[in-house]
Amino acid sequence: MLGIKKENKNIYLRRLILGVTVLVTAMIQNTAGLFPDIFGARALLLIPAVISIAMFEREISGMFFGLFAGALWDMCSYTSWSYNAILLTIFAFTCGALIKNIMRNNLVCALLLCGTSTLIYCLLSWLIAYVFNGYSTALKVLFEHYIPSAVFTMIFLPIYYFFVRYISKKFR
Amino acid sequence: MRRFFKSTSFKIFVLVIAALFMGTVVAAISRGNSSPLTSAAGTIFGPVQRLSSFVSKSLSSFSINFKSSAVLSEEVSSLKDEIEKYQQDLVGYEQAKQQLALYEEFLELKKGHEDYEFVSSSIIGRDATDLFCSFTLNKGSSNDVSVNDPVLYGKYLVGVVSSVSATQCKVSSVLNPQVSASAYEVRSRESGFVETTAELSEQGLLRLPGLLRTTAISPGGIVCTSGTGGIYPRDLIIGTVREVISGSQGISSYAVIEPGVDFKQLQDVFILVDFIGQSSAEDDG
Repeated sequence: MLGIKKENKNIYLRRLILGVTVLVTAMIQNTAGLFPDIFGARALLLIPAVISIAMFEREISGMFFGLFAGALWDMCSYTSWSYNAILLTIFAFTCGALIKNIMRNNLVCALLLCGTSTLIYCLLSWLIAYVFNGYSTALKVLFEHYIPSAVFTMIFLPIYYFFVRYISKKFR
Repeated sequence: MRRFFKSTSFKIFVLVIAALFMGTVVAAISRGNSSPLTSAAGTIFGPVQRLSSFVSKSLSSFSINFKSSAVLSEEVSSLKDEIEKYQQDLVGYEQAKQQLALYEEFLELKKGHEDYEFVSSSIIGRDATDLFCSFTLNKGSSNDVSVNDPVLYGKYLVGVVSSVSATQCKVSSVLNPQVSASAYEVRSRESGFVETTAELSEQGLLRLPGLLRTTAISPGGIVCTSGTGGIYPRDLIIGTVREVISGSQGISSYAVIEPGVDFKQLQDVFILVDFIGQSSAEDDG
């Protein structure tokens, strides 16, 4: 009985820490001047955070972290619909399910999953914001802003991955 | 694979996604143009976002103090304290000076237009993926803010409210190609619609198209809102004419306008929630 209680306590504590991590990441990403741009590239920190969490929390729990992160992103997003919540929920669920059923949980797989998710996110955002609106600078913006932002985002994946792995091991 | 699609976790996932799409539909038909999830997140976590914005502002002034104290030796510790105090005063003075300039312009505007009702607001967030300088403000429908309310910095037009939740709202700046405002040039009285293109927006510029080739508009001319349409009141300054360019056919030309506001440096703005002649979001359909 005591063992189960301790296990539950660990799960709650772990999820609380991961929730706070998502909250702090969202604040850093959404607040102007808190995180530097590099030559116009901006880090989309919530994507590596959510992917790393989903890889260790698996699909259902990870999906709700994705939903939470997406809702925080939508708070400051230029889109009025739940664009980020929908995408991050899908990414988190897919990554969690892939790790549970097909892939191994290691840094290489994390890079693969995060890279694919970031690229899909950037390409979709670019399509919606530029291509569908018919702006002539679409191609220029893709190569000067969206692709560099995706690359810049990937730099932060190992930080999140090892942090979430440490938390998951400590509060197993 | 079939087992996975029949699993409970997949069913929960489909339910969550369906609920999010329902929220999107609600956002499309609601007056505030904001989904229930975004509104809830804004209400619950808005204060944290405000705190984060405050920390960001404080950090920018901290760096000034940090740099200066590093160069001072222990022997002049008393002087160091004094200098730090002066520097803090200076930072406060600079901030107060900027705030005062904004309020002076606002007061002048208010004196000339008794019907204007303002709400003072601070920028609490910007979207990392948006290149058109949209931002989120810390005031929402509980402060009478509604969709299509103009946003000002002193006498200058900054943008328009695009969606509102209870405690915050999102603003599309005039640098967004989807925003346009009826306008006129003060000297020549020629009028049209100020808008921007993706190319001009990248350079932080706007344009006033549809001018005759023989236009009297010249560089330095001030462009103001004309008040037509009911979204923006008359005589808000949009910017100054940088140059007049002839169109490719040589029949018409357009004026390139430099906005009077540095959108990336903006911290505090005013939302014009009511004025005589304002049309509501419902009027616009």
